[in-house]
Amino acid sequence: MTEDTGASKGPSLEGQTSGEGRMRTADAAVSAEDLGTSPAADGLGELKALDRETAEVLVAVTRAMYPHDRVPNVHYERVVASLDGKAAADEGTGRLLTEGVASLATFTGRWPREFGELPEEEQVRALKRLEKGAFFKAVASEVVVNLYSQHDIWPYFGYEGPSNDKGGYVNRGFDDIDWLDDAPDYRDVPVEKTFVDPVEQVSTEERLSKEGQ
Amino acid sequence: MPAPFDRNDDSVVVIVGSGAGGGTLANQLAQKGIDVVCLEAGKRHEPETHIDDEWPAFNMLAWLDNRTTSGTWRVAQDFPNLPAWHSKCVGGSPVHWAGCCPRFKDWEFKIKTTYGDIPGANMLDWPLTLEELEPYYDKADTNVGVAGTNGLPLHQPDNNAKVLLEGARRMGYKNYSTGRYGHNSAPYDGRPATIQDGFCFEGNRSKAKWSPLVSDLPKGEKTGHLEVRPESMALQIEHNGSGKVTGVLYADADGNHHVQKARVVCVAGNSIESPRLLLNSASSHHPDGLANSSGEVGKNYMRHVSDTCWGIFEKPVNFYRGNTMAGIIEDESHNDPEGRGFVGGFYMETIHLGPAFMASFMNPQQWGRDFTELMDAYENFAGMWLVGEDIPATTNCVTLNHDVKDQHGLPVPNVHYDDHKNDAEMRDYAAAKARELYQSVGAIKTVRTPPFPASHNMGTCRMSERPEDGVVNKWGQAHEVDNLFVSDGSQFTTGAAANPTITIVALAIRQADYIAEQMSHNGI
Ligand SMILES: Cc1cc2nc3c(=O)[nH]c(=O)nc-3n(C[C@H](O)[C@H](O)[C@H](O)COP(=O)(O)OP(=O)(O)OC[C@H]3O[C@@H](n4cnc5c(N)ncnc54)[C@H](O)[C@@H]3O)c2cc1C
Repeated sequence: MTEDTGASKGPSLEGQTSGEGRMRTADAAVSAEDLGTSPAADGLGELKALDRETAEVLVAVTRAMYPHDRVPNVHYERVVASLDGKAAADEGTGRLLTEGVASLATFTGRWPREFGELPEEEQVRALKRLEKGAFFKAVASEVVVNLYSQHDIWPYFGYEGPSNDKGGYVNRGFDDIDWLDDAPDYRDVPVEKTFVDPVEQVSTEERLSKEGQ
Repeated sequence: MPAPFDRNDDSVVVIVGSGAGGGTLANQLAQKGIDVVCLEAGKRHEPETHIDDEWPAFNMLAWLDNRTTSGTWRVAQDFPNLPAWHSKCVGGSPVHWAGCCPRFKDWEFKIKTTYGDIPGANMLDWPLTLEELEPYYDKADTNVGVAGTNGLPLHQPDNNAKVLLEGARRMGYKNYSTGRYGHNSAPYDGRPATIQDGFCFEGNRSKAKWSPLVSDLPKGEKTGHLEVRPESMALQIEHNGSGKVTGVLYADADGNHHVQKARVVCVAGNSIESPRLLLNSASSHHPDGLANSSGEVGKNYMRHVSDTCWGIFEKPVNFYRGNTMAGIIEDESHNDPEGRGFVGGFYMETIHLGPAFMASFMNPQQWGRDFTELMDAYENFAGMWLVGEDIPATTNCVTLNHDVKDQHGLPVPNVHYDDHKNDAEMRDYAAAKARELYQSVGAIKTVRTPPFPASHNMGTCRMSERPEDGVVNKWGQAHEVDNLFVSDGSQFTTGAAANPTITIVALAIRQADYIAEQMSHNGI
């Protein structure tokens, strides 16, 4: 569950999150070149089971599911390359992916290859209709495990990763937080945003009123 | 004859499992000159091979054999085949653990007396008091090298802890610190001080963190009285008609079956595998499972009330740098049913995850921008885990699922759990406190994460005064089989609010004294 305290009153994630056109400060430090993953590089590589078009649509689908505007496509392509590997190892998975991509035509009324060009709301509307099915779940769990495990994606999140080879963080800022004394107290700022827990189907407000607040 | 021991040597003590309970016990017995064979299902992964990367480390160290779940708990939906997170490796779950070492409070040994009877609960007092266990807690702290004891200083707070502790101050809490933590705060016992590497859950390359892998097992092996046999999965405990166990049937790495004869058998496979092994050892003498006349084997499974709160701030915290869980608030660990509306207490402890685990666990099944905007704010996260006492219930249990077999052809364990109303109320109360605490230090958002697969597993072979109420006596000795012991968290009569491991270690040290004493006059 997410609980958003009154953003309008001053504090907000503006400039911290990847909303339309926004970039965090950390982004400036992360250039694709440093990561050895030029945005143009092809993370799909030699496909083993899926056809090219299906794979390309899947790249758009994975991004629509987990959109990080500042993360180059190559990271999503690697997720699809991994799905391709699973399709090569297991015919059922191959069928699930191929048929799932084909079914996008039903849910969008457009050719699957056009999925990537659709406005985000339309992509999301189609995916919402698919989310309980096996195709969505197979793709989503691959993204969750694979995308966020790619070492060269971590700098986009400000995560420095493995540390033992560098002597840990004991001399590299493990206790360098310096703003706590001046941190504002937001206890009285009302909770604003509704967020429905997809499993329990409870909104933030419902939970808060249950808690008697 | 020094180790290794012959399979037909029936003078040895066989311990199943080399984790917090089994690994500690093995060394304690070996130090007393008693010969021990420790059968461990997992491989031996020396610290140098540990990986600073969450999924690869998990795949290397965790118990991944198939399991099933049932019940109304959220874990059954989010992780239907992974009800628990514990290790399958030499050294057991302390190879994964963080190191929080709070002790039980005196009243937590007698909750039936303190809380009274509660509908839906199978309440029972421990046949043991804090006073009796205290000297062993002291020995456990010495064995582990717990910060804040034995001359070891408390840890320096890392970024995540600093946020927690400042929040605690603003909330008016009184009892907060980096806490008793089983990870060297200074060089100790031949192992170095922490380098704040941030990968406590992924093993520990530097050996600063205690586990039997880096401490008890090598010490025991040095005596010549301990043989640790990795990749040896115990399948059944053999026993005879005269009420004694005689050995353990196990499968080696190639799946070949062997029997290791034994004078005494100690089961320490963690609270799902230990009852499973007893249930799988049913025979005409023990039709409902070994040592199960009471019917309590597998029952009263406890996993602690668990919730996690992430605070998101306007500026970076970099909470992933530093010890994973060195930060604790103890003010909520009391019992106050009138004031708070539930019995039992809880602790608030720091926790961090890397992006890989955060994506999997923060809000399983969530996707879209609601989710990715949170991930994008990762470096501005602080995190705390809420851990409290859950209510023991007969219906929460580990049983054999005969419809699903594991790689050895044995029925897999099914773990059934329903949150008791008391659990749900404690969880909501704790989550509200956690949110308020982070808001008090400027959190602009808080995220509530549902329970993880259980890292604390307890109670499935519980201790009881009377044989009809439980499986083992106050020494962990089976009520019905003198030379059979349970030596892990399964013995817990109830779970208290405290993280369980220091209590498991204390009980194992105490049990070693008892076993040695019994063996010396042929009591067993
Ligand atoms: C990520 C994580 C963090 C944790 N942090 C903390 C913490 O901060 N504080 C705390 O107190 N606790 C913590 N814990 C919990 C702690 O690790 C456990 O409570 C403790 O290790 C349990 O001890 P045990 O002896 O019952 O079982 P384990 O330590 O799990 O040992 C059981 C061993 O038995 C083996 N085994 C099982 N079945 C068989 C069989 N049939 N044959 C042979 N071998 C078998 C297993 O492979 C395993 O190695 C944490 C756990 C995890 C996973």
